[in-house]
Amino acid sequence: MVQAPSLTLAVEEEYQFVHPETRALERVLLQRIAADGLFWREITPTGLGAPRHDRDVPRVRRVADIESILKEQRSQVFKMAEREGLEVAVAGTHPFASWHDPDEALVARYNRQDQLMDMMIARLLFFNMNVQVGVEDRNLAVDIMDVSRYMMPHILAISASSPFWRGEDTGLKSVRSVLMENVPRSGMPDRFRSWSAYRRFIDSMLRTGSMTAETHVWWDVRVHPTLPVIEFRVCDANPRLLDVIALIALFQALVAWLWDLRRRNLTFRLYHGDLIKENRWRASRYALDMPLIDFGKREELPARSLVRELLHLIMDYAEDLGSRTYLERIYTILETGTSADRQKRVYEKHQDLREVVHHLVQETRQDVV
Amino acid sequence: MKRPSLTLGIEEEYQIIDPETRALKSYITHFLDMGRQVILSREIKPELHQSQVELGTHICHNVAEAYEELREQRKFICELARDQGLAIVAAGTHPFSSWVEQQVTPFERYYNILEDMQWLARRLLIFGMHVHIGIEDREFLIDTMNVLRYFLPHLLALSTSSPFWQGRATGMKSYRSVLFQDFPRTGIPTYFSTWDDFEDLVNTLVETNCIPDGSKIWWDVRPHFKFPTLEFRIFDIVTRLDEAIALAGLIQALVAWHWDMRQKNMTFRTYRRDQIWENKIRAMRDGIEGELIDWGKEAEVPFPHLAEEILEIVDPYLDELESREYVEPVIRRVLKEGTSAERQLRVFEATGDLRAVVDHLIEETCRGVMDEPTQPG
Repeated sequence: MVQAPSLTLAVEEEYQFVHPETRALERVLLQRIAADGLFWREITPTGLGAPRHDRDVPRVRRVADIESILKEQRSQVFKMAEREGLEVAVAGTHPFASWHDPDEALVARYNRQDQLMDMMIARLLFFNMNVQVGVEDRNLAVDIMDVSRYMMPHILAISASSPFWRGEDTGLKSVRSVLMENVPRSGMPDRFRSWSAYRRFIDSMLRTGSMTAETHVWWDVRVHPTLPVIEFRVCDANPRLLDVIALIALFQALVAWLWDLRRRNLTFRLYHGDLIKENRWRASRYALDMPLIDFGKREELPARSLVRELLHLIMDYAEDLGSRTYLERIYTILETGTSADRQKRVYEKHQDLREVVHHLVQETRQDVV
Repeated sequence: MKRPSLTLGIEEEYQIIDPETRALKSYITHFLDMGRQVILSREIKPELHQSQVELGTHICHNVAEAYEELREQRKFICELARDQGLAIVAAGTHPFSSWVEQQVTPFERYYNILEDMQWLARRLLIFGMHVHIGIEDREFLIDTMNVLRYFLPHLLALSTSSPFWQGRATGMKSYRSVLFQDFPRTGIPTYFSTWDDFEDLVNTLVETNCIPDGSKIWWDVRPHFKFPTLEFRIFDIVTRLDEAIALAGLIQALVAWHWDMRQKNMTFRTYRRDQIWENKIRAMRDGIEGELIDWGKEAEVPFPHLAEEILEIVDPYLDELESREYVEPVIRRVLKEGTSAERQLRVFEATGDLRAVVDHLIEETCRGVMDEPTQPG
């Protein structure tokens, strides 16, 4: 029998430490509350700090619990920054930081670096929010990975928070999600069908020196190679804690729904990866302000309607999980826009990217303090 | 199933250069005006940036004809440029000119691309070569696309000509590939079970307003949206004429090999897109100097060894296609002496001057082009 997923929750946030006057990016702190413990790592313009692990982390299933943990974590990070006279911002990119030459060849050292992803963050300076949901049965996890690819563009659209990069208005809503695809084994994964196929792929990559660690896959959605979780990495990091929690609730309810379908011998239809990528591109470029494609109906529909449809499909599961009110926050995002929209509005008003950073700092604190 | 005609067609995107400054020159609109007045026999195609010019050969029945056609084409564009006090370069990127300074060709379709792709399009100042191989049976065309995907990284490695970008050595051999993959609908295509499967994808994309037609699919290899050809687009434009032809001949022979296997109920194994991409990254980075993965053996193998294997595979077909002299010695020479990327890096190392690299590129682009027909190799 297929084991029911535990649906435990874990999350990784990436914090930008910025100077209160110049608003420049001083360093980055990665913090992950994960199934294997708490993880920190610092990235500075000159290099990477040593990773630190703490295994004593409670495993939680309720969104309310992850909310208090994340609140506590952000408060601590704020204190840490304050001691150094810095402020904290969370977003998919820092609007104008560029620690390295913008056209430095980013893939030149691919495959030869441990902690490759941290290196990539240091060089490209983009920030994800990663959500882990406990799915213990490995084949079920791969099935959910294959199927849930369809919804990743919709969720990316909600989370878009990186319109600026290295001081430029890119004209996109999530430039992070586009740049991300320069990293090997990232972006939209192709279909795997089974844990054995997935595992075979990873083993073959390790054998051929293409990966130096089995965790070096960074797709928008991945079955974690060593932990009993499925991990969603599609989202831009988000400043508003309420939005972060809403996205966590969304991922959990999504997994619960797909599991329930599975038990009833049903599944969401699988579509060609290239079709899904088309929606992903639209989400990167326009977030919620362009139709996405409903591939079942084969027509374009407003992104907001499609997200509402998705919420409708999973709302009962959120109800059961006690996360309904958190999930309903997504409706507010649909009405008022994404962080990318808000950043663009601030920029339009002040014509100054430092004001955008200031705005991000305020939003990062807003639901915490 | 009808035997493919294996005709060849080559499109090249050239750089228009100011020989004084050695920088890119936004000039295409002048060329187009002149083209209308002076030359009607060739179609000069503009590109997004005004410093780019694209030309394509007619359909060629064999490699010798393709060589002569491409030579004529390069001669034509080099002379047209020279008459205006300009020069032409065939390389995947310009060593130092910045995209920020380039003018966009004032045509509606380019404004549309800019509107759609924004910043991604503005910095897309890159130059490629496309090779068409005539394959009339559509099922065999899709089959060939699936199978020959495996060799795309190898072909890219042999074509690399963009080690510099915006005035810096990038540490890559094909930086053009890095820039292009930010665009949607690029890279290694996925596996299609049938022609219908492919057509269904295109129709869905058209129906849902993702693309106006199949011309907006920019994969490294694609079925052409109008012609009965399989179009290989992974290449940096190749600086030397004879090397461009050698690659075209190599692809033609690979298709002939695949056709022959098909007659014997055999095929080359197909691999996941991720696996091919892994090799593509290596080819982008190291060109012919690195190791690619042999996915059959699951082992890293030095590139020259893999290239020799490919030459072995196509060996039985080169005589029948009358292309041996155009392919074999030239590929061997590249393996020994390096691709354009390595040659550019050597010039830079010797002179420390990117303008000297441009001069070197101007010379190589015209080499064997202006004279009367010569033996290749």
